[in-house]
Amino acid sequence: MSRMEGEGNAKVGGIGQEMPAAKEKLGSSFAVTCNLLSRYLREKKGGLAVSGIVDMPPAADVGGGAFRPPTTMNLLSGLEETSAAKTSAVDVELSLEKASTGQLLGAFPTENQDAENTRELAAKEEARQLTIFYGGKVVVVDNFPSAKVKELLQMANAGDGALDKAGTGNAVPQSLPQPAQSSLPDLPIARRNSLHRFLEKRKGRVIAKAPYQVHSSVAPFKQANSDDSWLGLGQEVPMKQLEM
Amino acid sequence: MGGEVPEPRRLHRALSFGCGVPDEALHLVMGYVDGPRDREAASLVCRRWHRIDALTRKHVTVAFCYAAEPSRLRARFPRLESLALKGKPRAAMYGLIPDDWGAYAAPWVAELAVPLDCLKALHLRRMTVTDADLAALVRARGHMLLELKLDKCSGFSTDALRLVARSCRSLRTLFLEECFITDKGDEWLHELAANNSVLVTLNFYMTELKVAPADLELLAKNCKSLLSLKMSECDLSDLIGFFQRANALEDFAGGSFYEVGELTKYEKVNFPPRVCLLGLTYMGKNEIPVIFPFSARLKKLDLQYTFLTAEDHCQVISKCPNLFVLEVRNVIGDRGLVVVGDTCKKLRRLRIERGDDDPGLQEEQGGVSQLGLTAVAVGCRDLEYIAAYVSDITNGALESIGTFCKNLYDFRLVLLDRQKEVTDLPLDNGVRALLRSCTKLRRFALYLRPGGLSDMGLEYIGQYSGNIQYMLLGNVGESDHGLVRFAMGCTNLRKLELRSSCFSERALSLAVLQMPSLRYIWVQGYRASPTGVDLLLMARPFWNIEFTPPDIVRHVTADGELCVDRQPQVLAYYSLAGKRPDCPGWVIPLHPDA
Repeated sequence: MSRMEGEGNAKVGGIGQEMPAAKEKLGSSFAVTCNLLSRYLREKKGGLAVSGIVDMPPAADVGGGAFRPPTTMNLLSGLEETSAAKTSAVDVELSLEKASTGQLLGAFPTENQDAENTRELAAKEEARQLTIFYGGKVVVVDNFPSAKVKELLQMANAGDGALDKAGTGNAVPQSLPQPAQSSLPDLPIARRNSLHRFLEKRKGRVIAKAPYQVHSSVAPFKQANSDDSWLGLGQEVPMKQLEM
Repeated sequence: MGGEVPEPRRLHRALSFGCGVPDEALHLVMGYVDGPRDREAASLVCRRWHRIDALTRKHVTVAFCYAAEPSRLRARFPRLESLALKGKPRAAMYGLIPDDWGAYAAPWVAELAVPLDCLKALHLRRMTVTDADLAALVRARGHMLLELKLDKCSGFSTDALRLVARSCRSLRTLFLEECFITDKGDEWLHELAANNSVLVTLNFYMTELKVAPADLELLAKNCKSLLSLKMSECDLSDLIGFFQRANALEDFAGGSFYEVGELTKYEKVNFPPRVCLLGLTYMGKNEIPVIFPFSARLKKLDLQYTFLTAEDHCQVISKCPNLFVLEVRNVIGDRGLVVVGDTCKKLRRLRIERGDDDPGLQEEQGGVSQLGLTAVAVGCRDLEYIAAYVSDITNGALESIGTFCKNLYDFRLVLLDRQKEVTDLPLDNGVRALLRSCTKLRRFALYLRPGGLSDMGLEYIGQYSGNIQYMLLGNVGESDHGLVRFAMGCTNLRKLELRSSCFSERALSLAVLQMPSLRYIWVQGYRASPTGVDLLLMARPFWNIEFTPPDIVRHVTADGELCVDRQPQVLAYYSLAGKRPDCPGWVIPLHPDA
């Protein structure tokens, strides 16, 4: 548990969280995931701000970051480039997202956050926890020396081609259409089953028995003021499937 | 932190160890502790208390059937007399969960029916129950079963009911409300009437079962203690004989008026003298007079399934001054609610369901707004439960409810989306006022329209929801930030349902990690990733995450329309049972593997 929370910390969480999404979306390979990891490590070494973790960002920033339609998609295009050093719009996007996540997280310090931060600052080169998201699973390795990350990367790179050919047969196509604006589908308000059935039956009864037509002089289409008119024949519109 | 957060329960270990309270005494004392929370606390004092609690616990509710294994329950509470099990998410009651989702009763019945030899009452809710399950239960426990409640369950037939009726002669309660039951004939009721003489409650309300009125008459003749009958459709004029014999009856619901407008046909219907809880299906304007003779003694009135107009509601309710419970559709209108506020001074529970949305019907014009709710709040100060589908609502109305309904325990509000203009959004301040004032609230539902509640309002909910244990939120908040701020306040929230919201998967995960008491969350309508991978951020020991990806192909209906429920869903919950073994193929359990 604490492991996962630690993961949620600032920078580690920021990037770590990008990877799985990107990986899954593109069905990209292990190597790509590791590239991200290495880029993350590099950024961290570059002293890319542990600051800002504690400060709350302006709400607008957070909103902007959080609401950006799947940043992971952008990240994806970035992933295809092996050169992680490239400065591109993608990178900006990435760091913005990262920052907002970091700040979001920073607002809710976990117990071991301080310890984690200290460790980060003090021992950049030391062994640390490595988290790999792959194939929908999370692998956490404690005390993973950062030097070994490069080896791991090489390994992963070597296997890259093979993986691309062999594995991930069910991968999502790279040309996955990106929703221009990931606007949320408007979910209709659901209706209780029992009421749904009642209203359906009522419709059936109204049609079959036409109760009020017999006893009411009110023309079917007349509205208001007639106590019966809401049952009026002919006004019944077939209930849409979606109105449950 | 707003609201009153209950003091943590402190039980002194000294009581258990030092003072030498003998086991017998502790057994006796424990027998007087009924509250499940108190029991839970007591069981955590020490091993001895844990053991004695386990041996004296008579009733257990398993709030979610995948949260624990039946074998564990059996091992811990060997002398259980009553067990309640809940299955599918609540969304199943709204047609949002496919039938083959799971929640099978089979493993529970197989594991528990024989060994739990004190078991007298079984209550299953939203579960899949087969004839074989019921046969196994009857074989093992039938002779001593007092109560069988199958609540919104499916998967069995009247064959099983016939077996129950024939074998469970001590049965006091048979409850089948809203079950999907395969009807293979009405012999089950005949068997029940012929074999049982102690039945108190029979409920097959909102089922499609067809029964013979003669069998009901036989039942009334043989079961002198029958207090409650809630039944499927059956013309009321055919029940005249039953009503004549069921002298003890207090609670009746169901029936039907097949000949609408033919009051003469129903003039002879005389309800038994003690009937005070009533729900008449398909009652129309012309049939209202059947209840006038005893309307003043009515304590509960269910008008959800009637043909009444707003005006008819006014007429009926003005003659029911002693109501404790009123259930209606929003056709009651603000006019009707004004009458409720003026007449029903003892009202405790008010449910205003959603009627037909078809434009042009008067029913829609009869919708309910701030005017009606305010009138009710001002008039009915004892209200403990309000559930309402409204067409419009204001901050002021919510504030009024907070001001006047101090005993509110459960408040649910859905803002319908048909009316173009809503007077007063966002509802941040009204919601805050209500939550601040109604400190007894334990359940809270707020389902609005986009823009209905800002991030600030969402944060208020977290901040002032100290005692709330269950929440349903829809269309609230503006960003992930609001959700996480909300979550930070929810210290006692145990169950959360979110629908139709703007939150990202990641924010959901972060929010879950902020709520220390949360043990169950269901979400539909959020910014999902195609694989649900960001949900793994909420992974932790004993926390199951089940992701239902969007699946457009599988759920095309017969008429070629897309089903509404194809939005991805997330269900996550604490479980001692590990991954569930019976996941349907379209549900993906997510788990971090080391």
